[in-house]
Amino acid sequence: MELLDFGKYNFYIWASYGLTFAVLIWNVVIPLLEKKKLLKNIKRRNYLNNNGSNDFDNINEKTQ
Amino acid sequence: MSITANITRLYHQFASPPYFYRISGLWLPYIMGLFLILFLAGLYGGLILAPMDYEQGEAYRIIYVHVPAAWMSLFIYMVMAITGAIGLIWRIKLAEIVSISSAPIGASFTFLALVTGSIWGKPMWNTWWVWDARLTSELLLLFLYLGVMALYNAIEDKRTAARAVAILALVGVVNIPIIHYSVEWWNTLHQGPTITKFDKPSIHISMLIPLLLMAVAFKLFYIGSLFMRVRTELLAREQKSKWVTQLLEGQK
Repeated sequence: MELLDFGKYNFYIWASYGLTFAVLIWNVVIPLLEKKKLLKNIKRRNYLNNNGSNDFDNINEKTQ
Repeated sequence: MSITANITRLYHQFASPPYFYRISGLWLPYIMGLFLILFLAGLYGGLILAPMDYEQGEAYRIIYVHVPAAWMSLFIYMVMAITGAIGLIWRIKLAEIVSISSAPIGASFTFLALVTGSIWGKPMWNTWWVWDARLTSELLLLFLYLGVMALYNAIEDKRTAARAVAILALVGVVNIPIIHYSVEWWNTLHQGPTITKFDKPSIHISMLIPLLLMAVAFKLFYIGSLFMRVRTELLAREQKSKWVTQLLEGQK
């Protein structure tokens, strides 16, 4: 028997494992993207604060 | 100093955002590294080493992702409810953040348990879905997670939101024993427990070991993913504080 060949159940098994990989990757990628977005926001706010605009600070507060 | 005082001190230290941020950052690579090792070992054991089941053929191999995912869906819910209660009673910010950060991870594992179960059900029961007790109560769990996330996002003040969410999560705890015992209380299509029986588990050791490896791997993964989310949320909530400013300045 071929290794990793599950005969008539191939589709069901690989669909389940594929979905598992997708869920695991999602749970790593989303937190990474959120962190990146946050750091960008903080940096932008600091930059605007240092350059005299206070309006943006208030807008930023609300979106958190 | 007495032991209790020491524990209390440790507890407060661990719950302090800058301390947790630093320690979780140190642990994260080891947690994810160990997860990867156990996960790969579990895959190898489950897909290659374990023999075929005499009744279910090769299809039973879905067990190695379905059962750990289902266990995690319950475990994460309990973590979310308990940390939510801790946040509610003692107003510990870290507990609130752990609670709400668990919700999307728990929802994703619940979704995985439902869909892999459905994929398993098709060849075994000849149907993708039945409205029986186990399946319906697990679906309700998914809605509870989604409700928690929606409620949290709907309330602007995050500390108020965390309190509201904790109450919702605690009310939903009633669903947990229902899911667990559903296969015993009601006649369902879903098979009964094979692992958590008090006498000998009715599963062969070569099939059991990969399952346990996967279960531990999923737990580690949850901790790792949770740490990632909690760290970002801590930075977001404390971005005006001195430790975050110093931390971000140090990175430049």
